[in-house]
Amino acid sequence: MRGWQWWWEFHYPELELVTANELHLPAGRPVVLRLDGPDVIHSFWVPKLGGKRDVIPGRLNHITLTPDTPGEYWGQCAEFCGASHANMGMRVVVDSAADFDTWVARQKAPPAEPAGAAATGKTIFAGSACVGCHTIDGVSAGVLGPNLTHFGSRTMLAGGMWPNTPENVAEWVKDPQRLKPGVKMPTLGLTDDQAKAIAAYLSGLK
Amino acid sequence: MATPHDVAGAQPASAFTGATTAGARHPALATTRSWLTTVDHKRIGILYGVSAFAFLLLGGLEALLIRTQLLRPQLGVVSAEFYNALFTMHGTTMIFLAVMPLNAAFFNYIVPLMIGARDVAFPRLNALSYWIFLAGGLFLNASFLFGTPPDVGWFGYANLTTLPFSPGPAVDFWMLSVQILGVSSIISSVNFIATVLNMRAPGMTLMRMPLFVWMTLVVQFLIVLAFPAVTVGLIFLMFDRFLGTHFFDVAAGGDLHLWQHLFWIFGHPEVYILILPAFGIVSEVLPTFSRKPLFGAPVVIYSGVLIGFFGFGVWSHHMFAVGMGPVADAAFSIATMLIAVPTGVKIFNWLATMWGGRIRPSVAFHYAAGLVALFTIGGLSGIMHASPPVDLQQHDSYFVVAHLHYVLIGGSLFGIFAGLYYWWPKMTGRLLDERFGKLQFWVFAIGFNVAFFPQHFLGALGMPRRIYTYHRGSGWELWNFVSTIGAYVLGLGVLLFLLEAMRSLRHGARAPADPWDGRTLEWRTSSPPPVHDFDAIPPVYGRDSFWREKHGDSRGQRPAPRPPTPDPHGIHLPSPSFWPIVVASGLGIAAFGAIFHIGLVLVGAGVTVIGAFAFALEHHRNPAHANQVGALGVDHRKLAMWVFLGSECFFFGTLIATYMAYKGRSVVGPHPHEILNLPLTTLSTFDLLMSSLLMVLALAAVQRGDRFQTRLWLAGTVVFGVIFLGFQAYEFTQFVHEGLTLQTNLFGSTFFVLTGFHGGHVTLGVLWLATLLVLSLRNRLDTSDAIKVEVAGLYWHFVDIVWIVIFTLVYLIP
Repeated sequence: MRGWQWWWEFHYPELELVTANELHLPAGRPVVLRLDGPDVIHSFWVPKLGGKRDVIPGRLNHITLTPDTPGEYWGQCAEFCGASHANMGMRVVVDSAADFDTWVARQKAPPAEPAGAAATGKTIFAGSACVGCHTIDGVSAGVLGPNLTHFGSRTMLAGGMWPNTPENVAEWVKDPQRLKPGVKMPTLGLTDDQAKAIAAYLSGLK
Repeated sequence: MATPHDVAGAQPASAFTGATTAGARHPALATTRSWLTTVDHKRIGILYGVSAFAFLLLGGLEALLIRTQLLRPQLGVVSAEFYNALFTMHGTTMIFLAVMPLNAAFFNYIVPLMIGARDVAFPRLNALSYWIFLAGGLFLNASFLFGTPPDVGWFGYANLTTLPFSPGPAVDFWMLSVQILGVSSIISSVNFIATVLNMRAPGMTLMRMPLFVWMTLVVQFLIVLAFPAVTVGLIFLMFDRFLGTHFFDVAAGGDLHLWQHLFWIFGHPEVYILILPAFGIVSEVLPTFSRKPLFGAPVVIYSGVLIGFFGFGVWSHHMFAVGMGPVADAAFSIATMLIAVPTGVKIFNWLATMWGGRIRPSVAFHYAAGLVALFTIGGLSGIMHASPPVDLQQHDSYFVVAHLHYVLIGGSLFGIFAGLYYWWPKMTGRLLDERFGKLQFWVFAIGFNVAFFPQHFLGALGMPRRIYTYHRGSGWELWNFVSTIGAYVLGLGVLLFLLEAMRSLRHGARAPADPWDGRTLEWRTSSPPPVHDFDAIPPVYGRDSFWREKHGDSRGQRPAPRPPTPDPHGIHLPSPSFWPIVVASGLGIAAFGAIFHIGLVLVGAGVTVIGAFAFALEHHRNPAHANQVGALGVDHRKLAMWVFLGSECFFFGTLIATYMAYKGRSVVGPHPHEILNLPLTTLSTFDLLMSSLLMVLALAAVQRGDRFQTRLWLAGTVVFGVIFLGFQAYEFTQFVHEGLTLQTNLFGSTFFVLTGFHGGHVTLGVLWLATLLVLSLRNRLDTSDAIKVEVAGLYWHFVDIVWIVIFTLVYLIP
C-alpha cells in the first residue's frame, strides 16, 4: 500500500492487481499491509478495523488487519500531510470469500470497450496529459496518479471523498482544484462536453 | 561606592521613572523610553503579560475561525490552505507566544518578590529575553502580512516542511521564529536559575521556597535541557532549506524519525514547561484561600521535580504509530504511566489542603479548584494514551485534541487565570471585582467544557485532527456544532476578563498590601511594590514566612522579630539599557534577511554582534556590579555559565548523536574513512588542548594581578584558538577539493554541521578572549575582574572538551 498526497494506492502483489482509494479485503483472514510512502508522511487509519500505522517514506511499516464482518468501512489519513489532508479518505470493503473472488475476477478482466460518448472520452483521454500520470490497462501507463483501469467499479471519487457519479467525475476532471485544494492533478482546460465524455468513459470502466 | 544608579534611601521612585531632561519636555517620550529600556523585573513582567495576552487573543481568534469552519459539514468559511495555516498558527501562538510568556510574566513579577530579592540576577538579560520573545512573536505573525502563514502544524513534521513539499517562505517564518523564541527562553531560564538559586533572602532555604518558585525552577531546568533538541532539529531544517543539506531527504538516506525524536524530546518536556507553573500557582492559591499550609509541601516539591525528570523519558509516546517496535513502545508506555504517579500525588495534596480548611471561595480559588477538577480529566485521558493499543486508536484523532486542551486550558490557563486574579492587586494596586469575576469564571468554565468535552466523542467516532472539513453523514455533525458554540462562550469568557481588567485599572478599588491574608513574601511589600521591592530584605522564619510572622506557626507561636537582615549589596537599582532591544532587533532583522535578502542577514548579524559587545561592556568595572556572590556562595555569572554549559551539553549531544545515527547511511561517497585526515586533526586537537592549559595560566595570572602574564597567556590562548580554526579551515577546504560539501551526502551534511558549529563556538571563544586581552592591554582587567576571565575560561574548557568527544567519535572510531 502506498500513501500519496492525497490518495491511497493498493497493490495486491499475489493477485497482480492495482487499485486506488478502495481496498477490498476477504473476511476472516489476516491481511498484512506493507505501508510505503513516496512523498510525505501519512497514516493509515480505518477506525473500525483497528489502530493506525504511519506511512513513512524511507521506512517500511506494516499493519495487520483481520476483518471478521463483511461490510464497508471508512478510513482516512490520520497524519497531517499538506493542503488536502482532509480529503484523503478511503473505503475498505470487506467481502465474503466468494464475493472477494468475484471482485478479483472482475478486476482482472479487461473493462468493456466504450461506445458512443464514452468512446469519444477514451480518444480525448488517450490524447491528453491524463496518460502521463494514470494507468488504464491497454491505454496508458502513468504511475503518478491512481490506476483507473476499473475506475467505474469504485463507489467513491478523488481520494474517497465524493460519490463516483458521472456528474461528479465531469466536474472533477474539469476543475480538480475546486473539489480538492492543492491536488497535483492539473486543470486541463476541458470544455463541458469533453469533461462529460471523459466522465462517461471512466464511469464505464467497471 | 555610590554610583548614579545606587539609591541610598528608601525613596528611589524618582530614579525609577528615569526622568531625563528630554523627558521633562516630552513626558510621553520619556515614558516610552523608560519602558523600552527598563530592566525592572516587575515592568518586564508586565511587558510579558500584556504582549502574551495580546497573542492569546490572536490565538483565540484563530481558534474561533477554526471552530467556525467546523460548525457545519463542508463549510467554506476559510480555504483548506488557510485552515491549515490557522491551526499551525493557533498551536504555535498559544504555546510559544501565549502560555509560555504568560508564565514568564509571573516568573518575572512574582519570583523575585517571593524569594525576597530586589531583582533578578541579570536584569538586562531579562530585558533581552523579553525583546527577543517579542521579535520572534512579531516575526512569526508578520507571515500573515506577507500572505504566507506557516501551514505545516506546530510540530512541523519533516519532510512536509522541506523545500520539495513546502516551497514558499511559510515554513521559513515558522522555523526561524521558533528558533528565535528558543533563544529567548534559554536566556531567560539561565537567568532565573541563577536568580532562584543565588538571590534568595537569608533564611530562604530551598525547602522553604514557595511552591511557585520551586515549579519555576523546575521549568527553567526543563527549558535549558529540552530546547537544545528542537534547536538542533530546526538547525537541520534550516540547513536543508537554505543550504541544500540532506538531513530530511529520504532519497539521500535521511530518516524521518529523526525530526520526530528531536521534536518530541523537546515537545514532551514542553508540556511540563506549560503546566508546572500552573501547578505552582495553584499550590499558592489553595493554601491561601483554605487558610491552611499546603498539605505535604515537600512531597509536592519532590513530585514536581520527579515530573520534570520523568518528562524527559516519555517523548516517544507521541510516536506509537510510527512503528518503533514493541520494546520501545513498551518502555515508553511504562514511563508514561509512571509519570502519572507524581502527578496524581499533587492532586491528592491539593485536595488534602482544601480538606477541613476555612475556605474563602474567591475567584482565584475558583480557578485553582477548577484546575484540580479539569486537569484531572486531562490527566486521566493522558494515561489512556499511555497504552499503545489504545493510543493507536486515539492518536491524531479529536480525542487527543480534547485531551491536550483539558491539560493546557483546564490545567495551564486555569492556573494562569488563578494567578491573574490572585496577583492582580499586587501587580496593579487595584482590586478586580469578585462578583463579576465569578460570572467570568463560570462563563469561561462552561464554555471550555462545552467546547472540548464533546471532542472526546468526536475522536471516539473517528474524526481525525487537522481536517478543514468533514462530510455530511459522517456522524460528526452534532458534536462539532456543540463544540463550536462552546468555543464562542469560552471566547466570551476571555473577553469578559479583558473588560474587567480594563475597568479595574481605571476605577478598581485600591488594593492593600496584603488583600488575601497571604502567606508568602510578596504580600509583605506594598501593592504595587516599590521599584526596589523591599525597603529592607525581609526576614524568613520558615515556610509560609509571612503567615508565621502574622499568625504564628502551627501552635500559634509567633517568631521573635528579627533585626533587619544585613544587606551587603545596598539598594542597587540596575540602570536602564537600550542594548537589549538593539540585540533583539538585530536578530529580527537577520531573520527577515534569511527570507528576503542575504544583505539583511549581514546587517542583522552586525547589529546583534555590536549590540552584544556594547551590552557586555556597558557595566565593565562598574563598582555596583563587582560583587555578585549570592546565596550559593557562587558568583551569579559563574552559576549562569554552568547552567548554560549544561544546555550546551544537550546541544552538542544532539548534534553528535545525529552524526552517529546517520553514520553509514550516505548513499553516495565520499565516506569518512576515505577522507578524514587523522594525523592532521590529531595535531589540531593537541593545539586546542594546549590552549586550555594556557587558559588556566591566564586565569591564575589575572588572579594574582600579574599583568604581563595575563596578557601573555590570554594572547597565547587566542593564538592557539586561531591556529585550531586555521586547521579547520584547511580541512574544510581540502574536503571541498576532494568532493565533499554540505550537499554531497549525509556524511557531508552531518560532518560539516557538527564540526562547523563547534568551530563557531571556538570562534566566539576567540572573540571573547580577544576582548579580554584588549581590556587587559588597556589596563582595564585586574584581580577584581578575575571572575570574567574565569567565566570565559569555563566556556573555553567546555568547548575543548566537546572537541575531545567529537575527535574520538568522528575521527578515532572507524
